[in-house]
Amino acid sequence: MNKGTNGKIKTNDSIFALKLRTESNGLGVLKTVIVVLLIAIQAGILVLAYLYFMSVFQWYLAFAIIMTLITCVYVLSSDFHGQAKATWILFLLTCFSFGYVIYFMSDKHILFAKSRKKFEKILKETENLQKQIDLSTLNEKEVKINCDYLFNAGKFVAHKNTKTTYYPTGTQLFDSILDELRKAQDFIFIEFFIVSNGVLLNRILDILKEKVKQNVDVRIIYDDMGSHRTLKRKTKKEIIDAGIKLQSFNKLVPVFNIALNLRDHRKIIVIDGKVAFTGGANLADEYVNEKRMHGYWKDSGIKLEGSAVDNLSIAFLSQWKFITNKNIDYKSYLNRAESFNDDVDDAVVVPFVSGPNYTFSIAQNMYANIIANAKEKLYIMTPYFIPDETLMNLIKNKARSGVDVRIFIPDIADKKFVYIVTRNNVEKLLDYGVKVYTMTHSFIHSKIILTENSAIVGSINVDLRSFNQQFESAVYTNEKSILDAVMFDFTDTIRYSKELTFEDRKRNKVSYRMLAGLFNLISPFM
Amino acid sequence: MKTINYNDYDTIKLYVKKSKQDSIIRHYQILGWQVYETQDNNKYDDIVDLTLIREHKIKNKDELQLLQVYMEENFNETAKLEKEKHSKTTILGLCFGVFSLSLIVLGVLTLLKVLTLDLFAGIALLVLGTLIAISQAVILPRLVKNENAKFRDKLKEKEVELHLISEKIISLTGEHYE
Repeated sequence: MNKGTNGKIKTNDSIFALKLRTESNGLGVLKTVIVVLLIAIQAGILVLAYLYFMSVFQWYLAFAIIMTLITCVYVLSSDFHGQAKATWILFLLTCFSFGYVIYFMSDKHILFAKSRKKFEKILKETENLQKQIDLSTLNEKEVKINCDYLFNAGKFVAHKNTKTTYYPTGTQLFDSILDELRKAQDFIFIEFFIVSNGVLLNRILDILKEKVKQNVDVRIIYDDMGSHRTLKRKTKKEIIDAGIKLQSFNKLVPVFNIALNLRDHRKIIVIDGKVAFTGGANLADEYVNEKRMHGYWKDSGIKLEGSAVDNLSIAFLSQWKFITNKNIDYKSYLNRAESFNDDVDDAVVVPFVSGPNYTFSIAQNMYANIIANAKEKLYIMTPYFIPDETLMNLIKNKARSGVDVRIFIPDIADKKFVYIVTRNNVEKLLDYGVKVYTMTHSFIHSKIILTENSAIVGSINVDLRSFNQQFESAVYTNEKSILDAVMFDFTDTIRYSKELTFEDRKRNKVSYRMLAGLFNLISPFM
Repeated sequence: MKTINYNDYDTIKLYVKKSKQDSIIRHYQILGWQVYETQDNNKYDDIVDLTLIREHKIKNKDELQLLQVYMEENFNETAKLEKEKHSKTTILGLCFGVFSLSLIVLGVLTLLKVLTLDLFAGIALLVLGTLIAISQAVILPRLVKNENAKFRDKLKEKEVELHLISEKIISLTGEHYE
């Protein structure tokens, strides 16, 4: 190291011209290392114990083979999709001595059974709180089908009495959130995957502290995995001391437990039961581009004003009850919205949530419904594109049938191996006429799907984690102003994007293709 | 130092190469940023820490944020180009230089009978080493010239790109740019 006379290092070679300081990036690294280390030690002890068991009891080999075969049959008859089944069976046969133990330890149906019962009880309490509106007046059959599905699947009621605003960036979304928070009078519910120390949190906390003083009931849920590296212990104490009710979802404990994989990825803000927000952005500075993580951060969100807010109030309160076990008088938080003229058009708004607490993936099924019903156009914006075979085939068929299919993904990866699989998947679609865009020097984090008559804006990534393992929130709508705004966002994004070509695909190195193949194999677990 | 009111102002903190400081500040200024604080980096001699502030609510903020990223990328890519201008020639020169020198040394040692190789082998090593060194002396300047030409083209591209970005920014902010 070349030191100058003042004791400083003469040059910093990692900076070419400039670099934005991102001070909180390294928060909690030690905690993560300790947790990962402790879990790895426990996993190691488990494997060693099994190896010892095998060497002592020779007959264990025969037992393991029988157990593996039984597990394979169990996997084949499960509701996993084809690729997940194939990956599990490959794993079970390769690690036949202990693979079946890992499988049963990671089976959310078994592991999550107790929590699911608790969730089912909560769902029962809330299912009759709202009544479905008359959908017979809807002109579009597809929209009615989607509304029916959401009601039958999770009792998510459709609303006409709602005003909606779409925000194509995190900056616009959070500016609107700040304005609305200042108007709060009764309660504020906030639920985020990532809550991070920084300017944005400071701005929000300033308002929340003031609101608590005015007797506003302020509650925050954050995901412990998503926020453990970003939210300081000191800040948590500061929040609680200010009188804000703070809860973490699925605490990160250093115990080998696959249920740690089930995360609360929702982004919900409800104010007085009159206004609500959801979308892709978390509560952290990079989402408003006041900190640089992966180039320009492209996100989106939606504001609801009206009766549809109740769907998100119920979703938040259900999660609150699951965490705290405290009784909730749901009705006192509902039916508070102003009345809007609901005879204007045919528009409906259906906020909904999805997660492992349901026996099927509402998010995935809604995406499948929307893709299947697309007749003219199908535009998808997502940071990760790892759909299962069914969705992939649906998209291929739509493109082949002449539907204008366009997929927007980031130009910069946040997780390299996930990006390799994403790129590999979208590149496969080029053969079918799908147009793929990567937003230059940017990380697309928006999660939007749009057809000629429907759109979903929310926290749902097009990947199997979002569909199966995470709690998500979104809004389904056919409202023309939203469809137009989302369409404008897509066309505007094209201005700053590069279209992926066959030549780009050809340029992929052999090593890249091999890596993509390998990562694809384990993609059901990504 | 007065604390910045984060409700009314956005702040960014930058590590900037001293040699690029003026140009970088000028470009941030057309984005509406103002220098709030300048400090020498406490670890690196060639880096300066800048704190810039800008009003929180400004027109066309989303597009300006995106163009700011493009501008930052352009600065870094240009500096990277400058830094790696002769990287290939340097590696090539070093490899062949060491190789030819080794051959010459081996040849000399053989001629001085330090090594027990055949005398003709010694001469052959010496000649080969010298030939490689001469050819290197002929080829390397041409390669450097080629690299310079390529660098100039790429630099020109980057300059044009930066100019276009700046023009776009100006059309959004109305700031003056020299």
